[in-house]
Order: sequence, then C-alpha cells, then structure tokens
Amino acid sequence: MSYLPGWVALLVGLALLVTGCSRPLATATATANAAAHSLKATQEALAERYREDQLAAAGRVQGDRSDPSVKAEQRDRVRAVRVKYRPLWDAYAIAYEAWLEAVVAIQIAEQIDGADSGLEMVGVIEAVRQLVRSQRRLVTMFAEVQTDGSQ
Amino acid sequence: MDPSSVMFVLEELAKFAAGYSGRAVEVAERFREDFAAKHPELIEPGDSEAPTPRPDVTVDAEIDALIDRGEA
Repeated sequence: MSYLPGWVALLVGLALLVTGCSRPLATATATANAAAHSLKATQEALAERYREDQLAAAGRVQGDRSDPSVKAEQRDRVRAVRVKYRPLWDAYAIAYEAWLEAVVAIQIAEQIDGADSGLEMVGVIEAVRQLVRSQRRLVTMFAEVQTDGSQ
Repeated sequence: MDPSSVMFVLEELAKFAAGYSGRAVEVAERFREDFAAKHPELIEPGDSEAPTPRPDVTVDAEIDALIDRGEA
C-alpha cells in the first residue's frame, strides 16, 4: 500500500475545503478517509522498516544467542535503533491525534442540521489543515530515514 | 478566506505537479473521487481500515521476545 494516493487526495480535499465547495461535509469525510489510508500506509511501511532495522542490529552481534551477555548486547543495539526512530514515532503520534480530531470534528458537524454552512465547518477545516501539516511532517521525516538507509 | 491557506495548498499542489506532467490537479481530483466512492462512510478508530495508535509498541514487543528466545 502506498501513502501517495491518500496524501494527494488529502491535499485536494483541503484545497476544496478552504476555497469553498458545494458539499463541504462530504468533502471533509472523503478527506479524512484519505488521511486514514495515507496514515495507515505510512504506519505499515514505517513499522516494517523499524522491525527490519532492529533485527539487523540484533543480528550483527556475534556469539551464542542463549548467552546472557550476547542478549544484553543485542538489547543495547536494538535500543539504539529505537532511539533513532523515536522522533518519527512521535511525529506519527501527532498525525494520528490530528486524524482523531478531524474525525471528532466531522462527527460533531454531522449531528448538527445545516452543518454544511455552519460554524462547525470552521472547526472541521482547521482540523483537516492540522491533519495535512502533521502528515506532511511525518512523510518528510520518513523519506529522510529511507534516504539515509539507502546510502 | 485566509490567503496563507491558499498559498499553502498551492505550494503543495505545485510539488506534485512536477511529478505528474502538469496535470496534478486532474490526477489528484480523480484520487479524491475514487476515495469518496470507495469510502463514503467516515472511517473511525477501531475500523479495520483505520490506522492504529502505537504500532511501534507491537514491533518492540516482538523483537524483545525474539531476543529472549535467542532467535534474533
């Protein structure tokens, strides 16, 4: 699964929302769904890379795998990988929270009659804007990690 | 309408335009319509298609278990 289709749809959704469109709530829903797909695809790719890097770090330790000192060395190497990825997972957590806030804002707007032209849409648009910002940061950071690993 | 919002969106679209031979908006619109058709209902936390909050914790637990068993 690639994050790109969802990411593009997310950007277009925001463009339509901020410039005005005939069915803003439906557009916001499609945009939040695109964000969910983009975020899930990023999550899967990131988790796989994170897993592979940890396994590679543990695998580089020489010696008997049942030896406690070898296990301790493996844990140290794995810990270093986790520290390296921590900023990325923090960025993921922020993007996830932004998606949750967008979902809640849309749910609130859906429960109010005439939400398509109401103040609730201001909250929805701001939530989607935060969603784009947080996902852009996450995607940029992940791309940097991928570039580092391929060099 | 906040001008900075418009500039922000245009900036993002311009980045993608470079990769889509100048037809970024048309391509992106098609993506958006495709998503809207496939997922008309709002995806919510807990849905099978929703992202999960802490995937790193799951990976960490798996790696820790592999080291404990001497399989890493």
